[in-house]
Amino acid sequence: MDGVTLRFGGLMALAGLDLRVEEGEILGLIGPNGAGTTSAFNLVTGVYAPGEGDIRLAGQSTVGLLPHELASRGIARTFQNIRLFGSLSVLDNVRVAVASRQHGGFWNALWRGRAFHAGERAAEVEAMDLLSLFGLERQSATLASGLPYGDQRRLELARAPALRPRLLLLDAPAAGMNPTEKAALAELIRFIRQKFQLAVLLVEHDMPVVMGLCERIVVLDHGVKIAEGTPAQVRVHPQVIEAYLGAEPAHA
Amino acid sequence: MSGAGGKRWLCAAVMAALALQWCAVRWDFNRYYLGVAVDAGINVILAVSLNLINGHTGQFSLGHAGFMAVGGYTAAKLTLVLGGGCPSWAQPALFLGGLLCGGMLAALVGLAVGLPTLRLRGDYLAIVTLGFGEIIRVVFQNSEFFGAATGLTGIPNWTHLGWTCGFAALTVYAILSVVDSTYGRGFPAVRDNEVAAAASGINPVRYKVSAFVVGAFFAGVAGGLYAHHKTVLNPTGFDFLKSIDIVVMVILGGMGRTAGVVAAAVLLTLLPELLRGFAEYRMILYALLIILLMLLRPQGLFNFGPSTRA
Amino acid sequence: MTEFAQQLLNGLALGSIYALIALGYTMVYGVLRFINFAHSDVLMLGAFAAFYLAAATPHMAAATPLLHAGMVVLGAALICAVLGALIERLAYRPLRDRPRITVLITAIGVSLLIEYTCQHPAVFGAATRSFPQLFPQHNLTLGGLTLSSNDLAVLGITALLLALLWFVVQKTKLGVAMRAVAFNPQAASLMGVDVGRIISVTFALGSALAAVAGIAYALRAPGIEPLMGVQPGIKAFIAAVLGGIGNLPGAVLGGLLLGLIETFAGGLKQLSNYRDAIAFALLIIILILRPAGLLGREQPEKV
Repeated sequence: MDGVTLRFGGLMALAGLDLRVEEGEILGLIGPNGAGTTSAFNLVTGVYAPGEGDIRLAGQSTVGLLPHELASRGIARTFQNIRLFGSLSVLDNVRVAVASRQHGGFWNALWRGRAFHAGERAAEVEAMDLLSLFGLERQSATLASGLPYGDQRRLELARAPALRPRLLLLDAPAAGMNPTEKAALAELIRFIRQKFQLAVLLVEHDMPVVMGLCERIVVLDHGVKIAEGTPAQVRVHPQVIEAYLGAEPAHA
Repeated sequence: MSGAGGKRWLCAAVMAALALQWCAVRWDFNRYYLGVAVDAGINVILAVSLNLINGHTGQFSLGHAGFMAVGGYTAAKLTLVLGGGCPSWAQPALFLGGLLCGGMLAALVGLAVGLPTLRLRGDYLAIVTLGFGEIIRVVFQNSEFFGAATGLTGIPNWTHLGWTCGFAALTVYAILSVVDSTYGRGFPAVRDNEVAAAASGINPVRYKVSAFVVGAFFAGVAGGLYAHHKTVLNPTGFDFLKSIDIVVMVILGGMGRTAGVVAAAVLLTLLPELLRGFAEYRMILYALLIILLMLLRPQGLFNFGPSTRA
Repeated sequence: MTEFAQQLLNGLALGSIYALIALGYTMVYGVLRFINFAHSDVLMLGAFAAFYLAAATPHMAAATPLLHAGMVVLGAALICAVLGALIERLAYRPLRDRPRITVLITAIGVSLLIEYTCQHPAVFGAATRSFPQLFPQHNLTLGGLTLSSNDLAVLGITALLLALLWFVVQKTKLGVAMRAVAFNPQAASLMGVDVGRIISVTFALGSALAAVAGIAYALRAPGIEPLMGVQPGIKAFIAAVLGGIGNLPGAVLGGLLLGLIETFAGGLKQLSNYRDAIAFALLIIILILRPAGLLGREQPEKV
């Protein structure tokens, strides 16, 4: 994104933010509460439209596209507060995302011809493969709302690659996890990146996870980028320490 | 229901409906029971089609009677205008054409209702669809072409058990086979979490509008059947209470459960007939039933177990 | 010009009745977030309560007509306040924390129950009865304008009630508690507000206003019958949504606006048959342009 600005009423949520995710990298986007990290996510996924500036995916502007159009163009995401299809089975949660790439659904489903059955089988196989990659194949028939918390997080992660995305946005995936689970999560994210050949943009408040996982980190505060660099550079950046610890600005 | 079995099942059901009709004529079944059976079939069509909108897709429409009115008036007007000089062998074709035209026009109205109301949800959507239904009714009430307040009379009595059960089977088949597919899982996905659905590449707008259009189509067909069953149509028959009746069938059956909704539609058709002896208390009991149902079994009378499978 | 002013006055009188009813819808929506379909029946019950109260006190009506009218209005308001709170207690309270659609359907059920029960011959019966003229009737003429004393009384009483309600909501402890519950019931209950009691009071207040509106409506209508509340109820509900449901000034604005539009549309011959359709069409257009109503604030879903 280039010089992206987002306002809510008179409030500036993001001001002239430049952000670039390279192919195949894991980029961390961090900042204290209210810094604008989730707003940045919602801009990239089309939930909000930028007031100014441009957002491009592989060189093409995506401004004005709706969330589902962006999803089918290769931007997948998870949510801070897990968002699953609670009344659908675990398998169906992934299957609908797989099927969103198919066409002519309604009449096909009504007519139930040969092509329809082939498509259904393919979607099921693909969804089942994804579930087994994430260790959820045994729960495939359970309702998503009946899964324990950790499995719900994993199901959300399993649903995202079904879109064959180029970019995966993860919003606070480690929230509410214990250290063992966090370590497993970091491993899983690396695995996803490698397996599906995608770039990851990670918003996370858990510093050890971010520092251990990301190749590059961008720090936001009050909607403004205050630092960018490797974990080691960011860790010692004076403005970052200030933003997080709330130290008095030097010039005051 | 799976695969080609579904289509075979539909053919069998339509055949059975026609055979039933043949028997009814052959052995001269009781008129009263036949009439009630036709009412039940029409209600099944209405309830199952509304279930797509309110149950599977999680919209809340209170205007189904409006779609029914559009279909009923269209079909009735067509047969009244063209039916006079129509030889008896061509009557079924004319009737079928009238029903389909009615359904199509209702679907068009469904599109007109579905599109602008997309941003609304819950109570707001309920009240706007109610408003649309009332507007449709007032328009018919004031249109000389459709007989104004008196409505249309002398509509040929063409709806019989065969037509009704055939279309009821078709409705159930169509809605089940659409919903029970990977594509159709998008309806409950939009209902469960619209934001996540969009993020999973599902276009919520398309699903919501499709639900309205398809639901309205079948409601329109039901309206046509109703018109040629009662042989008179007047606008008060399509007021907001009729919409409530259909909503109650859907809720009683368990939102999103086709089998339960079919059972509820039949039950709620029979109940007033069984209560005929208590005519004075009939509607009071009906109202009490709604309240008790909501207090005791809000998930529906015929809703067992947690699955959303139809 | 006189014609216009006349219509304006008629519209305001009708609109203020809608406003009184709309306030009840909006107050209940504010605290419980659902449409109380039975509100229109409380209005009808108010008119019937007044009918019987008036019939029971013929001597007083002859001796002190104004005092009598006041007694009847107050009595009906009191009866409806109790009824409204009772309905909430019996039908809606057990459904707290259930999906809103469940409560909505229950409300429809309650509404049907009241209507059908009242239509039963042993209760009120379905026939229309003529409503007594509570206020002494005079028609004032003012530069070509005809002002009925009933309309003036309605306008005056509405203004008085609005002022009273505003005072209660803005200046009293009860009002603060009501606003707190409307804003966030959980937080309010943590702050020591008795949420259940506040909800009861809200229903009682809204129902009392509906009773007054019911009497005002009955004075203009040819008579009273068990379904008399349906039409004004739906209109007032539209008014509440129009102004932004949950918003008190919005309900008043919506009510007055709807009364004016309906009166002016009814004045045009070509449109008079479509009067009811116009009210709905207006509602739909407003909601499409401003999904939260005229004075309501839209709350986008937090992602």
